[in-house]
Amino acid sequence: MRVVVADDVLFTRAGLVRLLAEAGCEVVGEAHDLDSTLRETLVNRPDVVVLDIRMPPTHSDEGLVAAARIGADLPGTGVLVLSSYVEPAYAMRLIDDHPEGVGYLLKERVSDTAVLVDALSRIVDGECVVDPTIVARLVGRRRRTDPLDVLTEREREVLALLAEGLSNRAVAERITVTERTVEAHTKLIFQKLGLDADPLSNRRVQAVLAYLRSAT
Amino acid sequence: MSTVGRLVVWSAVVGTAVALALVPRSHERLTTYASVSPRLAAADVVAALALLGACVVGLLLEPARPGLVALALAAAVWTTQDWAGWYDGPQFVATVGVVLAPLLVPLLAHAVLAAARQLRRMRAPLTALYAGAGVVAVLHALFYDPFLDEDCWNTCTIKNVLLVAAQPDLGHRVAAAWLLVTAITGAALVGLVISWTTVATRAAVRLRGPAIVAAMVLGGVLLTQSVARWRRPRVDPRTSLDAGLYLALVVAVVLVAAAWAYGPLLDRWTRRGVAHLVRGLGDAVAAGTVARVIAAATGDPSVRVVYRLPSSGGYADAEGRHVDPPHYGPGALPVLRDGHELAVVLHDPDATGGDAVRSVMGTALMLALDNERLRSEGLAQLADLRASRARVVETGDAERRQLERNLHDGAQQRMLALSFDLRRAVAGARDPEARTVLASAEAESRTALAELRDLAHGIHPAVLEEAGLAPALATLADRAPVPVDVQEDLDGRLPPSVERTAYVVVRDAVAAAAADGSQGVTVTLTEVAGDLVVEVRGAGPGPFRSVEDRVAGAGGHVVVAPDRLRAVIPCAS
Repeated sequence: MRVVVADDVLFTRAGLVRLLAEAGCEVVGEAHDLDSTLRETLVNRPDVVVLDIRMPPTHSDEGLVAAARIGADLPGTGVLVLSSYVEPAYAMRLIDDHPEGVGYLLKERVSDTAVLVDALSRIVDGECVVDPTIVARLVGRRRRTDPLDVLTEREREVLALLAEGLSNRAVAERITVTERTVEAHTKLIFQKLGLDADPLSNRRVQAVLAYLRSAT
Repeated sequence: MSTVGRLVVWSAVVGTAVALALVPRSHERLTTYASVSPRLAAADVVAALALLGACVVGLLLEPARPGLVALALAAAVWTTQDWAGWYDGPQFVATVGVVLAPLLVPLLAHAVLAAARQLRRMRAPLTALYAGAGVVAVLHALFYDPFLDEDCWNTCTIKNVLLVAAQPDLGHRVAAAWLLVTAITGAALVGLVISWTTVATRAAVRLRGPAIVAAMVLGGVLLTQSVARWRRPRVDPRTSLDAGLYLALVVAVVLVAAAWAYGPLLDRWTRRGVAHLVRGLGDAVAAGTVARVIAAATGDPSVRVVYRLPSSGGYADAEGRHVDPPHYGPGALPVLRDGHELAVVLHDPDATGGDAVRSVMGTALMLALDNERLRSEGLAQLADLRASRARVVETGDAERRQLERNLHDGAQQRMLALSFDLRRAVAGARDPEARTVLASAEAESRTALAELRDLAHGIHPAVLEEAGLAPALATLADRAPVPVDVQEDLDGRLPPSVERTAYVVVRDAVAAAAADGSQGVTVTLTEVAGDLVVEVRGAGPGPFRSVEDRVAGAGGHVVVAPDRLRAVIPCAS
């Protein structure tokens, strides 16, 4: 898998390059700001761009801007945004701007090679990847009358995995049940919460995140 | 007015009156205009009385007014023509009459310029004119022998008692030069009137109208007279030309006297108007009243009053807004007390003289000015305090933002690199014991990372700046220990300081609600008439000292009820 890595902090970028190499990826380009990220991506045509959300010139949301530009200019190129912020708003904006093959993970998450490899392959397959910490915070949020109370323990587990962007098959593997069982769970969950079940992974993720964010 | 000045005026007035009464005006010999006909004799007296009348008005109303001495001396000099023609009177008196006669021109010019409030500007040419008249008077006294003057008419029989040596040629040249000076003076007065009227404002016309007319007539008469004398040096009061010129001069003198007297009369009338305006000034007058009263009294709408701020040495207007220090000079009248400047009255120097402004600054207006000054000072201090408080808040925010950035780009990245390395070390460790220790260290590093992240977010939520208030409050709700329902209907982004203030309000209110064991809070954000209204229901009763300070720092206010807190934050900076 060909990867471009973008991070303005040199030792973080070096660490990412090493981790990606260990995960069996070929790092074809390195960048340190918005412009160089777009340039390296255009020149090297990687499968995935792994980038820091906060880079020069403004140190604010360059990663999200780059993701949107890459999604528009080179559709089919995956983007994995690494961030230090547990902010559902950023993840949702990312999925809005670049609906297919995109991921939002906390930076420390990728030190686990298995997680990194899993995220990259899902992104290459066109799925969404949302950091479990974000999903856990949304699911576990304090609510007056929690609409999630209507779900069983297992259904809540499935809902969280769906929010993380896992496909039915991946959910089935994770909780060791059959894919058919997951499909049944999914249908019931959506019915109980009054959501439209959408077969497309990324739209399903969007719907679930939006639901979790708005339910109070 | 100095004692000398008063003495001069009084003696000139008394002297003129005496001269008017004593000097014979009607006899068979042609020695004065007054002796030609009763009409001209009456005109002679009318002009003298007009000048005397103006002097009396000045002495009664405003003895210190510029031009009063010139006016009194003009009255005295006016009568010298009768002294000169007093052929059977003392020779010395007639001589003085002849010598002083040229001074009438500068004295009348002086009086009319004073009436037009132009003395300050015309000081140099006026001095030159006086000097010229003085030289002519001295030359006359020393070298003029009426016996040898072929153009003499009223003085032919007089013996110049001061004569040193008769110099008829010199006398001719002096007479010609003086005619030229008189002509230039007349032309200059006409020119001045034209320059005044082209830039005249309504206020200027009200102040100078009579002076403009008087200067115009005086200038025209002087010019005409010089031309007539140039063409025919010998005077013959019996001709209609010379009689007419004399009558014109009388009219000019009466107008000058009236124009000058108009000044103190107008000021007195104005002061009465001011007293009337000021009588209504209580404690609760609108800011700017002092300037409005002075403007109304002087008729100069451009009048402004700026107050000195003793604490900073700067200046503020009546509303307490800081203004640039005034430029001293014409048009800026400092108001002093015990040598300290209280305020500066700024006016249009061409329309309103400083004396006109000074004349309206009575006791009542000074009281009002003092009130306004104290209020201006208080308001200015309040504004300074507000600005300083806003800056303190702004600086604090900027420091927190910088701290968050430093944490993010520094400690968090180092800790991240450490966790990457530890993870690799765990993977590569052969020794089981070492592996266990490394795995534990790696877990610790991740906990430290999470804590660092929470710390950074607590110091300054980056999402607030980058995504806005609604997403930041949503995240706040995600993390809150009590249910938080955020209802907002905001249209786009708000100014950064407003967003930060609103965030702090909600954060602190939610924290207080959680500490009170609240069942949950509802936050509503609405924009009402340029204000952001943040209401947190379920939070209370406080105290919310830090929230109040923070909101007040942003120029807003907080209302705390038993079960809710409402902050109103102005959005316009």
